[in-house]
Amino acid sequence: MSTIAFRMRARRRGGRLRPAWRQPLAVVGSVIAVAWLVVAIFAPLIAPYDPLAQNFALSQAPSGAHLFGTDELGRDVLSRVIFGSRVSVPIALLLVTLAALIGGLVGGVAGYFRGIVDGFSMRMVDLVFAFPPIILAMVVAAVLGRGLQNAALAIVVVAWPSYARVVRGLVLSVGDSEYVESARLLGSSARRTLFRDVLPNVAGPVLVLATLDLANAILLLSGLSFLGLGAQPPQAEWGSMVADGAQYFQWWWIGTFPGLAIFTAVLAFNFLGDSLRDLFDPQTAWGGDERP
Amino acid sequence: MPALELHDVEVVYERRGRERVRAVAGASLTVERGQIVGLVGESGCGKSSLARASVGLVRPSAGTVLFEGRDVTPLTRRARPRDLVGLQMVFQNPYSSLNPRRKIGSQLADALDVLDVTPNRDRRARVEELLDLVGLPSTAAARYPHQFSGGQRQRIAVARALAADPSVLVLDEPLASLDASAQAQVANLLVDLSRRLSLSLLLISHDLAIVRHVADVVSVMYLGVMVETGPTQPLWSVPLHPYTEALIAAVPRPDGSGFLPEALPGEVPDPALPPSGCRFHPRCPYAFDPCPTEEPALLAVAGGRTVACWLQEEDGPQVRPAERARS
Amino acid sequence: MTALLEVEGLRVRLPTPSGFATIVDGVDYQVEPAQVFGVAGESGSGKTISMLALLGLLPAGAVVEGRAAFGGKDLLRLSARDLRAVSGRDIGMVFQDPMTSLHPMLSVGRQLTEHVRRHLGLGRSAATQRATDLLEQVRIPDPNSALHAYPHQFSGGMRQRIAIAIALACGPRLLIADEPTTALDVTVQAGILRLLDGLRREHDLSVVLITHDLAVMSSIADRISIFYAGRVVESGPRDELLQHPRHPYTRALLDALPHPEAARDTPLVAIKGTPPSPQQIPAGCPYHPRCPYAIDVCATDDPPLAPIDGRRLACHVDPFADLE
Repeated sequence: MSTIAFRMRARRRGGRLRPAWRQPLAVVGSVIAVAWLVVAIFAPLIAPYDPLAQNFALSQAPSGAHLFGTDELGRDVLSRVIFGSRVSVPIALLLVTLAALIGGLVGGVAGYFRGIVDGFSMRMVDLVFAFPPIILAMVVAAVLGRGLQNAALAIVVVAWPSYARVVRGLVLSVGDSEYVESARLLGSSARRTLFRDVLPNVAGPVLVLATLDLANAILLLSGLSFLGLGAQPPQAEWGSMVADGAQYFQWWWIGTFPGLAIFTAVLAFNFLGDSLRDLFDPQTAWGGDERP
Repeated sequence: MPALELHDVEVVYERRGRERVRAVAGASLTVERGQIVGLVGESGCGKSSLARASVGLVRPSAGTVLFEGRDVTPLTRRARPRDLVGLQMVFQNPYSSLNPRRKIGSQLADALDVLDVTPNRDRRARVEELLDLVGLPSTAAARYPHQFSGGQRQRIAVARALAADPSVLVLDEPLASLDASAQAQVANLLVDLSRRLSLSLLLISHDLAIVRHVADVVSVMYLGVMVETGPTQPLWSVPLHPYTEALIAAVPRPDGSGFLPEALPGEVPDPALPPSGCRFHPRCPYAFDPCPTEEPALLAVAGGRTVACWLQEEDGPQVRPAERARS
Repeated sequence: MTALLEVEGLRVRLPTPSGFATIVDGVDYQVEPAQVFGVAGESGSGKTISMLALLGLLPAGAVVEGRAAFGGKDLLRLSARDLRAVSGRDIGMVFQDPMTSLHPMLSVGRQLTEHVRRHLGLGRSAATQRATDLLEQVRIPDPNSALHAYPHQFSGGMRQRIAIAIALACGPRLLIADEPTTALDVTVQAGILRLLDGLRREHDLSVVLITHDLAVMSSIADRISIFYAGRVVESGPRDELLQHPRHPYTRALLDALPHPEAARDTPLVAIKGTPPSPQQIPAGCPYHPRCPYAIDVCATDDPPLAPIDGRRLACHVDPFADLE
């Protein structure tokens, strides 16, 4: 134990975070994520052509004029990939935020009031968790009807329970912690400690979860579109583009580039989320005996 | 009027699918004004549960707890009644009893904010005053808990409790996670504060040597009940209960004499299934007829002492169990 | 009598984000056969690391210098395989927390027999018999059913006894116990101390007892060495050292403890300051910033551990020399 204690102490004593160049994954992740955000925001300025324009030569391999080639309807793949980011990234952000808010609220209420409220909320969570996410999303999307909004809603339904669980767990454990008990003994009401001590501790883990969830959301959204339940043609969306590409395997560029886009975006958010998780860890009090 | 009284307190924990556990099975204790009472006992004796019940963190299933004559109502979701604010607690683990994400000064200021006694403009000065009371510099206010040692953290926890201007401080194993020097510092601080501020202390500890040094009165607990109480010196030199005797004999001494402490045979039983009659009887070297069948009541013995043992008699003399057994 | 374990010039450096830190800085000691050798010190004094170095249990990247002669071999120069053979068979180790040092998923019997079969090559029934004998030796009631039980079914004291049994399984000559009783109640601790004392007499076993608790040390140790900032500052026979400490740190450690004889209201004497971190060891004598007796030379010259009056002392001042 003493060696671990020693190493942790060395890290803490520095008091500073490890400098950025020692955390390559975080840097790579942030750069790519920011890049995609920039692309999404400035898409009309960056894309060389209109993503819906079908005026070009059909199924051309990547060339100087069309860096990612053209698809089977004569549309520029590069422009479609760029505009695709306008679909995947912002929608993913929106629905993760929504899921976090809904889930956080449910979890917070469950952890705060405990008892029957807690029991009921957690059974709802269990219900959603009983299904594999993609299947449940498919069912919900199918019920609601095709379209991007409905796909997004389906994903929110699938995503909120994780937040509920995490927030509930934190509210319970922090609520039972000794510093909250001390505050209660001094005369603080439960509600006051909730806002002053509990919720600030909840923000960190929720942020980590949300960042990692962004990756999942993009993947799910693409998946639903791939299956035809999300974005409808002719909208440029990565998942449906991959579906297209799967039909025309001989023209590999049609499916590969959108696939790479999904891959890099998902990877970036995963890296970011992992680094965020590490960032929050050393800050939590590292308990233990002073005696070795 | 005593500062803190516990009368026949019981604390019960329900366990799902298993028997309920009476962690405290009827214990009584009194802390007079300005007195330091040491509560000692080993694992499973229920002293932590008793400590939590005494400040209202846990609801006793029976018995009463009185703080300066008033009922100590257990905590609900509402704010704790104002008249109980003078009853405070310091916890065992100095690493978990402070919020790791907030600066010390902010946490102390928050305490003042909750108490709402000090006007805003005077709060900073009061925070410095509290830090000074526990021997920490005012620069400590700008730092985070992880930047302090265990002993310093414990002192910060004491400072927070002092913010309430308490008359009774219940301390649950405050020295357990500290090394010898930090223990000495915190122990000195507690005694000093008690004398200076007329603070009553209920100090729970498994470390008999420190309790003996610091406490005016010692209470010994075993498996949920009080087995003996009395002023420290007489209790130490003439223990009346066989368990007290065993505890004292088991304490090692740093005097270089090679004294090998005495072991107590057997194990502490599961609190959910206590032995019949006197709870200590299976391990007691002097157990005789009534012991396995009837639980002895707490009797008053000479010298302001109480003991729960069939060997002793009401208003009897202060005599060790071995001698009582012989007669 | 040749020493069972002779450690010379042990130096251990561990890698940290900001370069190497010297945790153990030149430690010498000898453990005789059938002796309880106490290693005392506070957190960060290097006492545990110095033991882990002998058993090859240091984290990757550790740099070890010096010599550790045991049974005719230098433990620090053995290959990992040879060291495992020695440490499994001739040296036993007991740690502080029996909950984490015993395998929670294997039965007690399995943990004992596995050890014995691996190092002594015993067959199944011989190993089981040995396991039962070992449990009896450590006074576990009903050893036969204990063999089939799991660690979590036992109390802390019992688990520590089982850990001792495993450590003794192959009949080692040396037992290293790192804070074996710190996590236990005082009556349970007394039982373990008595057990260790009895075992050492019955089996001619040497014990290296590592603990910060000088009272525990005083109960069973024959010789005690006091560690501070990675080195030994004083060592000697138990009674001499504890009754007449000569190093200011030893004296300060004892003064911080409640003394049975002292008047109750006298404050305990805390040592001012805190032990230095390995990266910030003061120049000269490492204790000098906290020492009330320090003189000029203490800030510049590191005093060597020198023999004097039947003990060894590393101090320029020796303030209590004439207090015998």
